[in-house]
Amino acid sequence: MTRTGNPHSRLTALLDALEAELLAAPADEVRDALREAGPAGNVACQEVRALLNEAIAASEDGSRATAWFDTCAGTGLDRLFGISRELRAGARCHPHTGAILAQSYRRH
Amino acid sequence: MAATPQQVKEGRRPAAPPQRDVGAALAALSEEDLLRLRALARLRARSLPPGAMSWPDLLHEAVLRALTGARPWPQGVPLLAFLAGVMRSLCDEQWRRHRRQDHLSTPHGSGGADDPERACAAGEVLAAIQRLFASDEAALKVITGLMSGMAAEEIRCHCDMTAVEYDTTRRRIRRTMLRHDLAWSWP
Repeated sequence: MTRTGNPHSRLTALLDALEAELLAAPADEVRDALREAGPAGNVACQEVRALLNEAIAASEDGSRATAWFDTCAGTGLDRLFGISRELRAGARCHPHTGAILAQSYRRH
Repeated sequence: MAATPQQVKEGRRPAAPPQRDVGAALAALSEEDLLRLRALARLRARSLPPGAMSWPDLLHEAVLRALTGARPWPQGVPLLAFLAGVMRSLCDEQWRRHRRQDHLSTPHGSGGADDPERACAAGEVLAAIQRLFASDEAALKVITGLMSGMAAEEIRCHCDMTAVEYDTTRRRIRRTMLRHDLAWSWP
């Protein structure tokens, strides 16, 4: 189907197509680009690796926080510490709890 | 997943489908895939609203959602394609958030395709991408075809290109994107 509409539709079509190109790019092409870039290529890879490691660590912290909320709720420590019901419910039920806690961890 | 008779008899619930280990898959990414992922994040971040998150934030958020299971990784979908899809939907989410936070009242305030601010921002990004290929006439033709949603065959016919010329042009487009990503110099 040809989309010739507004700039947003055109950009969406172009980004989707370029994304497909990047996903399908043969490994040797990507390797060549890395080689041509020299040290900048290594730095770029390290930057992404560090970012992924940070996200993995943050998600683990988020999981630990969720487990801690559950432990507190199970032992009555939540009442001792004054943890609100809303927070406990949020930690158990919110699909993005890990992400939210991790975001908080990342930003502070 | 349906419960087996044994599970029904024992009052057990059927096991959930195995959760794919996103963390292990991320840790196993090659250098080439890391570069690809970076290029995908930088490309998609171009469609974020002005002043919204940066490409590392976009990638970080997508990875977090995958790791926490907020966005489950479907079976049979390559990890990078999955993360690219998460980033794509995050961009739409950012536009909706931007629109909600925006105090300017507009007749089309949805953050969708009919949003004038989004259309304007998209126009600027399209111009920047075209500038990137300004010195490559064939690439510009292919880019213009892709913008119009044309399939490869349509672009080839429209631009009077052979299959080899088309493939070579696509390779140049990929190389330009990767090279400019690494040089941090998109116009």
